[in-house]
Amino acid sequence: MEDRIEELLPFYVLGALTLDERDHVEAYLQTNLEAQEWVEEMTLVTTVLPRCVDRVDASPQVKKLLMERVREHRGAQQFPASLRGLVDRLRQLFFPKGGTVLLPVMVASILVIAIGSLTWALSLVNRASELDQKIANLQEQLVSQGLVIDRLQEQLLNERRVIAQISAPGVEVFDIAGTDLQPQARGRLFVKPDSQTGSLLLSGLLPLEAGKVYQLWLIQDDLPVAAGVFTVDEQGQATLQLQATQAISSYNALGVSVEPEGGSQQPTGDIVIFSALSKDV
Amino acid sequence: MVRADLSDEQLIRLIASRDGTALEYLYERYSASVMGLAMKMLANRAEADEVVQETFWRVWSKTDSFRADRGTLLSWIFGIAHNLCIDLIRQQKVNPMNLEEAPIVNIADHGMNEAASIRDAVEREQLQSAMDDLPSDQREVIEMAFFKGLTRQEIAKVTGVPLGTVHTRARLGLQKLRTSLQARGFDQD
Repeated sequence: MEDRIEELLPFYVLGALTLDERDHVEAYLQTNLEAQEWVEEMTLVTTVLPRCVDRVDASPQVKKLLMERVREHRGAQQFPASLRGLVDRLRQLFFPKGGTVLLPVMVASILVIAIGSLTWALSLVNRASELDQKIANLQEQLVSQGLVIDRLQEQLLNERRVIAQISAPGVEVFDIAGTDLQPQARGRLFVKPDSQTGSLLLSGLLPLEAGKVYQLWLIQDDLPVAAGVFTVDEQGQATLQLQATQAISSYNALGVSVEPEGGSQQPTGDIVIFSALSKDV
Repeated sequence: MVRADLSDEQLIRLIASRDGTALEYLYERYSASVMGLAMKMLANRAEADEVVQETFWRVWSKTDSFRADRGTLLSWIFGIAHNLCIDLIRQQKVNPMNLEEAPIVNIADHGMNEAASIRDAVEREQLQSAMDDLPSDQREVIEMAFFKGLTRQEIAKVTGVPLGTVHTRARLGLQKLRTSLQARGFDQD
């Protein structure tokens, strides 16, 4: 029996089991640690597979319908549940299902109860909004603390990718140097022969004023091709992954200029890095 | 007010605090990826649109079911979309075996900065190369199961090989693909 379930595991990971089979496998996984570990390991494949699919535009009305749905949902949530309950209760008291008219005394009593309930409900609403405010403050703190973690995670991920690229067999290394404007700038470009991708590690670049970015250029026959904009960290370092339309090693040179935010079609500012892409350099 | 350059984790926290603008940013960032997956699985634009809307609605309405320790936000979103597509396929609202692939128009990367676009392109190339490294019979089984939602029996029928062979190809293919992805720097996160 277990052999049969083991055969189902790859299809469980791929999401291709019938509901009955899936329930069966999930029950099995509860009791089998080894199978559980195998499934967790293989889940990497299914989390990554969708990312190899080309991006396609959804129809414009999809976003519109979604946001309308969201606005309705938010509107419903903003009307406090306690107040809704009170309104319902009042409606039931004054307009019972039988439709009979209440006696004046009963109406007066009910009004007293209603006013009391309303006061109580309002105090609950105030309390709820105080708690909402506290939650919002805590969430804000979480966001700011998350900033640091996110930055580190992104850095780690990027570095892992760069390490994978620069340690690949047969990779060529080009030394990159700053111009007279930033002679302290240095770098190394790692590319595989005939590959259109590469990794560029830069250091010693000066921080830029607001509204300015560095722009990378790949140059062939004196013709610069824009290869991305970037900024540097506090230490003046940047790690970039390059994607070109032809083999990177087929370009004659690489340059970096200072450009307005968003980049330029052609270099317009100071050229701070310029190096020929030759292994002799 | 949220900013477009916030990370996924920051956006999902804002969405959890009922920030509709954050959802809009997340939609701009990933709707084309979700649409791409839905088109590949369903080959039907109307159905794919429906999947995109429902996926992001669930991101909004079931935010608390996202567990950052179980994977990235994008993986979670893809998981939702994949399940919705499988449900549609199973309900026979669409029949991917009988439909020709609808033409797919590639678009520029919305909501992504240039560095992210470069990273995205490099990543896609690496993934495709990992898939290409698989023996074709193993790749075929994985694609039929994952992208077309075919059951084991359906795959055996379509490919004309015994069920046991389909099992073996799926297991070997998955293991090989995982090793290949890890060698290219992809990790569980």
